[in-house]
Amino acid sequence: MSVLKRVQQWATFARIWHLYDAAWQNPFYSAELLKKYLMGAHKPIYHPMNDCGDHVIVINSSDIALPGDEWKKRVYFHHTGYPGGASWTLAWELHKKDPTLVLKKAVYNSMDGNLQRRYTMERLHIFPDANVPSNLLSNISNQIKQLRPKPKRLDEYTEKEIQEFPKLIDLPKNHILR
Amino acid sequence: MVFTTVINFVRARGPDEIWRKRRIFKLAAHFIGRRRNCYSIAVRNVHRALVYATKGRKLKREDMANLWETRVRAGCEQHNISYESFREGLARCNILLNRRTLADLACWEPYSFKSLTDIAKRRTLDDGLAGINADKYLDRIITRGSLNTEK
Amino acid sequence: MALFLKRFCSQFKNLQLNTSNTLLRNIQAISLIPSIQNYSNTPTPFEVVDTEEDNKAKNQILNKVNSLVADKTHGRLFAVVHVTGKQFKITDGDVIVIEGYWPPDVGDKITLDKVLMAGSADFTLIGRPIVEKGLVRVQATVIEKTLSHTKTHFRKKRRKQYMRINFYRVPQTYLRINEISFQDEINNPKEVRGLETAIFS
Repeated sequence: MSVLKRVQQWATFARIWHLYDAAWQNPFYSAELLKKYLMGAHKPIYHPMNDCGDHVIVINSSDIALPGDEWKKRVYFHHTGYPGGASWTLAWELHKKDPTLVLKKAVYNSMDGNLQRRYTMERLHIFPDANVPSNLLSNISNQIKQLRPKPKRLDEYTEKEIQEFPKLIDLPKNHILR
Repeated sequence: MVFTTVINFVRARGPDEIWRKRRIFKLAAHFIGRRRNCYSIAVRNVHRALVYATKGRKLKREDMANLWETRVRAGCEQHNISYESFREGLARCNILLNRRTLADLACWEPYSFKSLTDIAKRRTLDDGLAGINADKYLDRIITRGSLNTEK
Repeated sequence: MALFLKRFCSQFKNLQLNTSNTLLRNIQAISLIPSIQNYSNTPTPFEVVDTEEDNKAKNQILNKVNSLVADKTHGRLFAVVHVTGKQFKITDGDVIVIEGYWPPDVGDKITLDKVLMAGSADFTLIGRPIVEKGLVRVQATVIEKTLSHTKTHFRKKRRKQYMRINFYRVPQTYLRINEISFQDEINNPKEVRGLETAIFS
């Protein structure tokens, strides 16, 4: 193989590390997005036997947003295997115990239940906040776009942006805002 | 003395039994355990294997079509167009490439695939189909209505 | 308009060009879908077309491609060809298998006429649906005519005493693609072209 072709082959089959910010995102929709990258289905060379999946680092998983009243209603079932070992845990309780589990289970359950699933899940790295170990951070070369935009609080806007924002009317100076 | 009744108790199973069973054992050579050595077990499993082989031919075609579609979707996503818009745009331009060819082009001819996505984007924009936002880049795709003209 | 699309449709010559230099033309976006009533206040989309610049760009691309074709400096060509209902992406030296009944015999030199797409590393011709006949010549030779391995069509319904077995072999034709080449200039059709392979009886 010539040098150029070798480089092309290496670049095509290289494993890429992606970053995804899960703050304010729906974990179930995010799961559909992330599973594509984990399986390698975002590449035209995709094949289940090809081992073309990429790594995905998810940050801020403690800030995920479940729709409606799912925090109160969604239950996760676990059985230890021993008699009387069944337990039903609500989403908010599980999130309190381990803030990465809700998203992890969402990704796991969105995948096909075949033998490759556990190996594919090994490539997903979830962190509850933005503290990622530096050896993983240095691998990242792509950021996956969020599904819904993360809203900014008023105090997160700079003075300049607030002043430049288009106004309908100018309130009189002695007007009191409640 | 001639014993005429004893002969009736002999059960002759037919002279061709060995060859008949050999046909089954040949197909069961790679099975596990008694399935490859004992006839009554082997014959059941050989029948299952043949049924699976017959049904599998159809499934293989479906699986390949699915794989091609996944690959084309991945290619479309890289070029910011949805698969449905892509297929619709190409069909409206009378470009009749099938899934297999599109997948092969996406893998091996990336520039040609990009030009196909550009054509589909231009056509969806011209026709007013949903899913494509008018982008400044799309102005560079010169078709000047040639995609719409029918001879 | 600095950069243009390098690839283009082979039916480029079907452009409706006006004699005036600049042209204001409505894109028939809305009139193509007559059933939709548009009540919005947004103006109908239009684009300003400068025919001179258009022609200049078009000729620039065509000249580049034609020079590559004339000098044969394009390199290896690939083609997407349609045979017996299937599409094959082929290049020089490929061997393809055609399943089913296909009359050509061993040693016959075949020209595959239905070319859906042809191209090189620098340009591609996309046919709508086929590239102009006679422009791309795909020559192939039939190297082998055999039957496939024996396939078994076995049906069984359990517990119903229904079992059928059929053996079949599909005739196969192996085709070696000898060469793919452009015969002529792009966008400049000769009066009689593509009739070399026609059979007149």
